[in-house]
Amino acid sequence: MAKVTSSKIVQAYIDQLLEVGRRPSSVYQFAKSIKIKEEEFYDHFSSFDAIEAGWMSTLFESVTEELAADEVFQAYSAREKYMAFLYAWVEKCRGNRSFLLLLSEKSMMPNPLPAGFSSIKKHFRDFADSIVREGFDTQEVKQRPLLSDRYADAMFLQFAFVHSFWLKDSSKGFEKTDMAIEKSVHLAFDLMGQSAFDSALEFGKFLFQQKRA
Amino acid sequence: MKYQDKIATSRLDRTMKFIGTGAKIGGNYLKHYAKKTVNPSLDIEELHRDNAEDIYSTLSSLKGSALKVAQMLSMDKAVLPKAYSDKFTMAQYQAPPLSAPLVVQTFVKSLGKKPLEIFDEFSLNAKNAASIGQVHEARLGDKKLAVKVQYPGIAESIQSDLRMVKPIALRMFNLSEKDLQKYIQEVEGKLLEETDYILELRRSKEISEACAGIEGLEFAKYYPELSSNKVLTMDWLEGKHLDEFLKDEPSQEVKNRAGQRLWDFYNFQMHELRAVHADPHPGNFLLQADGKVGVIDFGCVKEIPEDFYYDYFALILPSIQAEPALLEQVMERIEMLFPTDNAATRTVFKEAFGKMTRLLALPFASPEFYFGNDAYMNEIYAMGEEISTNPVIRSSGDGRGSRHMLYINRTYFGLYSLLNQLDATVQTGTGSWAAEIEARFLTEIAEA
Repeated sequence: MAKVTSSKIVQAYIDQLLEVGRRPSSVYQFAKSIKIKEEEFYDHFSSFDAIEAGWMSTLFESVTEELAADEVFQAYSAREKYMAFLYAWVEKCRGNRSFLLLLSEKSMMPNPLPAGFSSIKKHFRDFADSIVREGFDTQEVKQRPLLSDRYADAMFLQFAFVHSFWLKDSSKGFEKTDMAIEKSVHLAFDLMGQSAFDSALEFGKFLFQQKRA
Repeated sequence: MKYQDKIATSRLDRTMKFIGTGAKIGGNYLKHYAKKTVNPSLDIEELHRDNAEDIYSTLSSLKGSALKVAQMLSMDKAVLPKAYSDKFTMAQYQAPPLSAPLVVQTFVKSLGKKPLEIFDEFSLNAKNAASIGQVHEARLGDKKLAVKVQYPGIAESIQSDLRMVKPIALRMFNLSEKDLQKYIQEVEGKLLEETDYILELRRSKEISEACAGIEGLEFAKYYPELSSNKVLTMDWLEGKHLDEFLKDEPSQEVKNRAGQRLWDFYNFQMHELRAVHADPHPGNFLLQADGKVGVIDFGCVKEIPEDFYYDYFALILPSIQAEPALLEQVMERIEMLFPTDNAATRTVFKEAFGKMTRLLALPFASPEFYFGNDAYMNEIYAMGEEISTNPVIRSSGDGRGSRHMLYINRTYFGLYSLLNQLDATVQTGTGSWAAEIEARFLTEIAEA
């Protein structure tokens, strides 16, 4: 290898993983197989985990960058923006499905999150927060004391749900995933928006105040 | 813009909905009889109205094929009380649209590009909802286009939907499981065909090219290179749907002209093409101020089998109706009568179906027919009511009539009801085809 770059290492790692079906036994062996020195590997990554995490972040960033550059996306409502994100994410993942399936098989530890998701949590929260804030402005999302701060976390769980659903989806063209996205986002935004729950709360407050007066 | 919040998709979901409706209908009957003890004058129409509303709200929230079944039912007005069919006609318009991002996603998946990478302009908000998809407006160069986008997962949900509709249909029409199956299969086949936009594209081209010679009809040009199994692109046809067209109070002459074109269009398809646009509901025609008729949506095309063609149209010819023995023979071939019927049942069915065919064939019996005559339409409804409440017929439990009749009858009911709403007088009568059918049957008799 002429010049060692992160992206070359990542690509070689994915290729090996896909062809062999499991991780290389050691960094030494991996470095040797792609004809670089072990030190050179550590210049870029501390471990295989770091490669995988880096790869997920890159994937995530490429999706958000693509959306940001899309004029149609800018015109969407908060609800539509989030939906568009999920569709774009699933679409991006499609080209890397084998790799993502391998990653999810590999994680032996019982983990509620799909493989690699912890590494993109922070990025996702920032992105979700921007959507939620926009939702506040457009009244699509209701500001509620205490709860408002947790919206992004709830959305992250929903994102994880969609991803896991897609990993298991066996329908033609992943049509079921499309439906899962459509429905779960509507539900999420219906819950975050003004709902019967708020009216009930308001009414309860009113009754309580009447009693005190 | 209001979106449909949730589409029930899992089988369980849908079952729950239908169970809900079943229970509600039961409730309506209870309510009806409770009210009736207080107020004996309460009419049965109100009960039908309550039932129709509940069935309608269940079916329309199911979307997809269930909506289509609602349409089918609304077409067969003759077998449905009027309150049902009025409510069901609403199913022919506006279902809540899919979200814009899903439209984009469908494009990306099936054509590999986003709408704006293909078209110069594309409205993400649907202009119209069809039962299994929605219509968007687009522009490419100076061409205005209509782009139909299919809801995801439709084909898969059709079978599960029909299984759910079955118990309701069994109750409504009092058919045996086996006989209902015969019709359900026909409907299922047609519904699945409708989800195949590639097939629709091919048929649209075939029929519109074959019908190009009929004056005053307009067909869209279809664009295979801008279409896929989920996306169908065609020219945008100008014109208004029937109810809006009538709001502008067109002259009688224009209405007659439009009606005549519809009649000619169907005549040509039935007798020349032997394949017919079997979905004549108001949403599929666009009427222009001068009476020109634009035809859209060739998703549902019924091909008429040769034998069935001769039997079916023989039934409506006065010369054949005048030959009782021959008529009976034809009725048997078209499965209105069974060889196993006992004499009493046979007489009841023969009379009922004889009356029905004569009634439905009335427009063919004279050279000109005024469809705006509500008395005629009401007579058809009354006939349907009479047949469906006749104790002998109702208790027989078997499905009378060939499966092919389902879509052909539906086509004629739809056509008549369109012409009725248009209040049109049409040159009807029979054409050269009648002589051919007569010759075939009457010589058969002579030989026998």
